[in-house]
Amino acid sequence: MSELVLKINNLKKWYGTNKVFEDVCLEVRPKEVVSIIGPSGSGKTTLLRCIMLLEKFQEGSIILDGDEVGYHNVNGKRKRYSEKVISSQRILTGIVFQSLNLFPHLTALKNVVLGLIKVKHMDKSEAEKIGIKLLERVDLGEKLHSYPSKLSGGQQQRVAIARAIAMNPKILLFDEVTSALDPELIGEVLNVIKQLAKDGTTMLIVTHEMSFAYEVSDKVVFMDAGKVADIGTPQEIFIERNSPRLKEFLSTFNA
Amino acid sequence: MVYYFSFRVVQSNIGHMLNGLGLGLFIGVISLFFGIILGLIVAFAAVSSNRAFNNIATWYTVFFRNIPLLLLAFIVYFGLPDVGIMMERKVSFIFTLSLYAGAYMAEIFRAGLQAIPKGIIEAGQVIGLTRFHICWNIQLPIMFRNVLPSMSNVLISLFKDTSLAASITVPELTYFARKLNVETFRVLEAWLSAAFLYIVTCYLMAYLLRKLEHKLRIE
Amino acid sequence: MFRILYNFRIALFFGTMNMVTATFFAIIIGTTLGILFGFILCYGNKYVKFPFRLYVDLVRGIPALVLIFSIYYILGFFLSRVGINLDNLKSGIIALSAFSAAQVAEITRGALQSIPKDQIEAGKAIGLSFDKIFIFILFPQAIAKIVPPWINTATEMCKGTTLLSLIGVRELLLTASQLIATSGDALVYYMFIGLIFFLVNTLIQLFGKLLEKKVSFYQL
Repeated sequence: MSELVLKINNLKKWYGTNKVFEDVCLEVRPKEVVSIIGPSGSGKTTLLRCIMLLEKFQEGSIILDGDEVGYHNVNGKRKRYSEKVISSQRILTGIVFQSLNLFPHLTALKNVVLGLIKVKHMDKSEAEKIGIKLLERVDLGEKLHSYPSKLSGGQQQRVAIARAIAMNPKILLFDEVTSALDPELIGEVLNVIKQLAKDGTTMLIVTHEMSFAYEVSDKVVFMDAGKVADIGTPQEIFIERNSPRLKEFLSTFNA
Repeated sequence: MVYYFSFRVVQSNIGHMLNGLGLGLFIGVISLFFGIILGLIVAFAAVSSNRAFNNIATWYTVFFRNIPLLLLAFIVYFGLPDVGIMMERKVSFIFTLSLYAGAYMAEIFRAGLQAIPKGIIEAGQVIGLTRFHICWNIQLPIMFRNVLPSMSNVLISLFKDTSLAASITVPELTYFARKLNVETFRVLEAWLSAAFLYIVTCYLMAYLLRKLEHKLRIE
Repeated sequence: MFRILYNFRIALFFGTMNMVTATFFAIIIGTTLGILFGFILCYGNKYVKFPFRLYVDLVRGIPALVLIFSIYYILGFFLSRVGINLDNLKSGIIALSAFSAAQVAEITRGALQSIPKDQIEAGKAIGLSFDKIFIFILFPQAIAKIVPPWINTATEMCKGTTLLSLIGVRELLLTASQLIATSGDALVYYMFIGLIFFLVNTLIQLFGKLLEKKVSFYQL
């Protein structure tokens, strides 16, 4: 059990009378790369946000690195942890959003080290050493002191990735990170993610880039209408395509 | 600490106060009207290609936005007689407020005109419209629709600025409130009722103007 | 003309000092309170927000002059009952501060609300607590949007000191009126005062533009 980085048990979330997702079960082992694919509205993004504790969920549990996060039992009742505890739990996961969310008033380097200095209380010079290394790792060594407004979309996403990695999370989440980019910038971001996979980073990736998912994943999850409809290896999901719904979905991609 | 309210003083004075309120509204609207005309002239001068016009426009706007309104009112009412221009109190205040409003409207209109994409003006030119037609049929309608929210704010501000007329004894709401206060020492009644009247009027104006904006926006 | 100005130099000096003092305190107190109120109006729950919303809407619904008179007469009346005598400059500053606080509150609220909610989430994602998110992420971005309209409020405060002449504060306008009473000519002296206001306001705006540059360094 403590081998798994992430274990999700029967997660269920509804919003008013709308069911967002239910019976979601997922396991991610160390160094595993798991992709989540599926039509829009299937609950993929919300699932990531729940793992990140940015959203609440009504049933089920999320276990990160052996400990349940988000909720605990108080006298037999299920209660959400206090904001303080949740803040500390959030650094177990790192997330890269679809819409950038870099801090526009900080340089690339300052964006990356803010968490290190303010949350992990690192010394400034120590933090900057780490930050420089990370930015070099995503191939932005010359843009350390540039402001986001001066960077291209692809460069901004790479800074966002460096920022997420800086906090040393157990698992890295990606929420359709290339969907908002111009076509010619997608490649540089995907290459960084491929390199991360080679380096053994545990990742959970929501994406529409099917060939990329096929190439980089150890496991692919197909989500449809709020349920996990299929889980398998890239071979099983993309080539064999056993279920009709899966076939229908993938045919729209000409993969 | 006890205070004995006596609303009877308000009751007996309510007529004067409402008259004062009405006068304030009247002054505000007239000043806005003249201010709009002035503002249009100055705004077009500001965006024109004539360097001299640009400068005059800039000086006008900068001057009237940096000088206190009360001082301006005194200059017009007490100072101009020195050079032979004498005006009755209400007229002098309307004159003052119009000049002041003109400067604010000029800024709003200038920004509004400059926000119209050049492409739209060029579209008018290529179908042969004259400068006048482009200005009247294209620029002004677009500009007015865009600046309506700002203009509403200016109108409400102008209405509140009419309170300054009390300083040159124009019988406006603030003048009566102060008179009531000084004559009867009923501080709370005098000022709370004046404040109440102003607040209600401003809210009504804001509400009506917002409805007007909404109506015009649907087009 | 210059002889008379020279004769009155002391009065004019004190008049200018009063104007500058009033402007300064009104801006400082008003801005500090205003930013605090704006924060509450943006992030507070509906019970906490209510008194501040009421305050801002009431103050913005009345003319500054009415606020000045009200505070002068009402506060003066009640405070004298308990033995405190409030001088007119102080009550004028209280009124101007209250007025500018309401304006700055609205400006701040608007600026804070215009920052995309994603920024808060990005801060949460790297484990920051809300107070740190506000100090290091939200406020630096908000201040860039607050400064330009704030310059306007600051000049309004400077111009508003003339209203204090109507409650007997010996600021520039009142001093000028007194000077005129002895000399007879009005226009030149009022225009002279106008020049002083013009200069002071230009200084305020210059300071404001410098401040604006400093806080907007990261924008395109």
